[in-house]
Amino acid sequence: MAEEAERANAAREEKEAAEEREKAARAEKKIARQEFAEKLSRAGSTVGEFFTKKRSVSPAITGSALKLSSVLIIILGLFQYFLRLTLSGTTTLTFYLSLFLFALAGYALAVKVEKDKVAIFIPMVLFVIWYFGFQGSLTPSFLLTYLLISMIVLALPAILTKGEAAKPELYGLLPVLFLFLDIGLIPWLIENFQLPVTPFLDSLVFFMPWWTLFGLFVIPETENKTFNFIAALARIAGVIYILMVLIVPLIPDIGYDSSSSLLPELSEFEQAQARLRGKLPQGENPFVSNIACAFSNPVDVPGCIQERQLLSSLKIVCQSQNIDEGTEEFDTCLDEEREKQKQALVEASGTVDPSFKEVTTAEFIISEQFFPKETVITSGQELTVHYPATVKVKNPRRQEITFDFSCFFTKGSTTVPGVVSLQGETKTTITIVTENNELPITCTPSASLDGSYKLVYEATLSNLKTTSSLKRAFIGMKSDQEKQQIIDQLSRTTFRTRLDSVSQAPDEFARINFGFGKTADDPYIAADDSLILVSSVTNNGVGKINHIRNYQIKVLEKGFTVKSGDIRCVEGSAITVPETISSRTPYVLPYSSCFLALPETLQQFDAPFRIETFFADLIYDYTIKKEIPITVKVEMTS
Amino acid sequence: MKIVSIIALLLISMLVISCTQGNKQIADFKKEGIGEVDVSRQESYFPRTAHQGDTFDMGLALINNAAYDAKDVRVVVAGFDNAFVDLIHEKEEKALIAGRSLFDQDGEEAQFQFQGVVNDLLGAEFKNQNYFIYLTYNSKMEFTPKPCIGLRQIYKNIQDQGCSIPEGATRYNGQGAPLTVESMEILPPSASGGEIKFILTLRNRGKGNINTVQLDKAMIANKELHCQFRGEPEMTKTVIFPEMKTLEVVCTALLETENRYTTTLFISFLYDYERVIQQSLELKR
Repeated sequence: MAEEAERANAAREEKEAAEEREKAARAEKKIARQEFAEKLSRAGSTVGEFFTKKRSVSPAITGSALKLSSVLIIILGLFQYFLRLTLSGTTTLTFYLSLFLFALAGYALAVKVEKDKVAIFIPMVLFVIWYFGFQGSLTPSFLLTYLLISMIVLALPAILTKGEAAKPELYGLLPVLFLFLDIGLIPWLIENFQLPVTPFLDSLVFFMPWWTLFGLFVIPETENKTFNFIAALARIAGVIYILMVLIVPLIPDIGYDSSSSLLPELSEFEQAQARLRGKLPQGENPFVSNIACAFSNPVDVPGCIQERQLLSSLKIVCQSQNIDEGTEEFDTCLDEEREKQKQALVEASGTVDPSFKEVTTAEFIISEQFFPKETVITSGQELTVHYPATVKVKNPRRQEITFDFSCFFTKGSTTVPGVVSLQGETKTTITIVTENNELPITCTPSASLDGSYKLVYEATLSNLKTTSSLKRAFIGMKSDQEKQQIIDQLSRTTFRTRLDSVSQAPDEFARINFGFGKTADDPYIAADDSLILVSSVTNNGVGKINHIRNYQIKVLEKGFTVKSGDIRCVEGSAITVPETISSRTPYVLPYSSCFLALPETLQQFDAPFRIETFFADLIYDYTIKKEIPITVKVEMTS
Repeated sequence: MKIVSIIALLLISMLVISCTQGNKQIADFKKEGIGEVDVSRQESYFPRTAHQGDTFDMGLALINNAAYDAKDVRVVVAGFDNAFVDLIHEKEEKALIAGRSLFDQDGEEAQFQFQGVVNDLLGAEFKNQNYFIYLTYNSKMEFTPKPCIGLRQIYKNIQDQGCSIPEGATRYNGQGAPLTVESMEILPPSASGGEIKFILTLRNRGKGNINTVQLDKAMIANKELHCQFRGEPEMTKTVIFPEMKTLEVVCTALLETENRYTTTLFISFLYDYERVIQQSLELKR
């Protein structure tokens, strides 16, 4: 029994001891938890303190460190700039120098700010990881993850320091911006957006010593006021320059080649519409359209610009009809005007070639100062006044042009012929071959005048030659899918707008418009397509086409043959044109359409496609004229 | 000490970012991640302007960042207007550009040179030329996962060697090529002795286009695996890769045992790849 009692006692004691041990263990755990919580809290406040703590470095030391680092950045920046110029681009050496300057820039900024120095490096590190680690990936899913994590990484110090680390984090974006401008921007634009960057933007980035500019941004004020002033000016200029570099890539034609210039296209568009109802009113500023479209519709900036410009012009047209915007009537007006635009574009079968900056021109110039608009003679006195004019001729392609001058005076149904004196000689014809010419002439009435007349000068220019060109893409024998891929590529680059698909000519007196393909303005030609060719002549100036001496659409020399129709659809001569031909109503040549057969060389070839430009010559005579009112008062002698 | 802890914080952030990124951008020779024949920016040169009568040179430097060799590499320049530019030759070929391997972890580099002459611009001040460089080659991709196969976990009293069959598809980071097996779903049989199915989703994660894909070899533990493209007859081993879409391959094998165990799959694909690089050149008088 006693043994049993002892065992029961021992068991109770053991149980009590176990309970005690358990209690002790729980207490230990509690203490450990408290300690851990304290440690954690201390760690948080330590990190917070680390970010917020002011470094106890004397201002003199800070100032000299900042001065030293910024001067070093300026000098190394200049060295890197000259290396880049000498070595014509980014080399391994300049690349690593850029990275070093990037780190140095971070250090300089860290010295410059008093608090939270380390936070400056966070965005820098994040950028390095993105740009070099992930090769600047723009994959949406990746960007989402990366930006989310970046925000967390950036927010963490800001939270721990109660927002004080946010400012230096923003500072940290400055070296990132400069590194991006220095080495990243151009390849990034080309690689990710496939933008054919213009030499202008290229030069804008290439000819700027970015790190030197950064050095000027961070250099502390000195006692030398002149230096401070120059540095301040450089900073302002630098900010403007950076803004320009960042905005320019968004603008077609300035930042990147849009293959065919958008603005000339709009002016062409205006011309076409002007045929219906006069010149288009001024719409939205193209620059504003560019910027707005770059943000609102980055996928199709050119299309968006065209739409915005058109819409703004149409709104002005409808507003000018006193229709209130927002009403149903206003919408109807917009729809009607839009339809007119479409019609106008269909009419514009040829266009002006913007790549010809200098074109053949001839015009009469009257010097108001020396022109005898009003002459008083006494009765019986012979009128010996010579009416002077000058014909200014630009002949950049040195064509051989013959000028034949005439003049006359009209008053109602009365016409008095004039006698032309050319360059002081009694001749009316001259042939020029030089580039710039000024031909002075005078006109003298062959009979006496009395009253108000209209003096008309005329010059007929013979043997003028204007060459039009037309671009076509040959895509050979391909599957429908392959064809579509090529068409997609080319419609984004080579044939961006309809005007790229029609014939173009210098902005001269007249031009031949021509087109061929499945339809006349379809630029894509496959091996098995049936090709129709059409042509017309446009009077592009204010004078008159007298006579078409010759026209030739040079497709035969490229191996094409006329499958059906008259051979005169591609070349002909001695065409008399009606008086009514003008820029509004192109003259459709006789035998102007036929069907062509594609040469073998443009049906089968190795390349995915071929681009060919075809030319057509128009040789013609053209008359320009100038009218000016004159008065001759005859006074009776007493 | 504090600086060290902050740097550690940053490094951990970097590590987190690297690990949470869904796919490794660069393939390594272990056949993981995404890799293809890339243009070496530093070594390539494309002039921006050329004057009438000038001869100009263009150089395309390629580096094979894939874990496989690129065969029949062909570079074609197209898009120059033949009226204004004469290319001396428009095509260059190379039989092979070796991929990344244990012996060459950087992949082979190759240079392609082209030369052109600017003709008379016939009075025009300038002409803008947008042209394209077409890079095409053939290559392969091997998918070698080690899945757990057998009956599902709901069947008790079977040996499982500690492996389990995942519910739903397992995602993969790429196999060192632009063509990737994005995910694989295992559909075990509902009873012993049935067929196990592997449904592979293929995706193009490269910068170019995959034109056709061919099923090359398919093995499960050294035995043949029957695979076919979904929606295609079993005989069709080559299909056109749908642009911007995925392709499904269904493989089946007869289970020899109802036990679960880890085995090795080997499925390889051949594909032909095309990448188009756009450039521009301004011709000046």
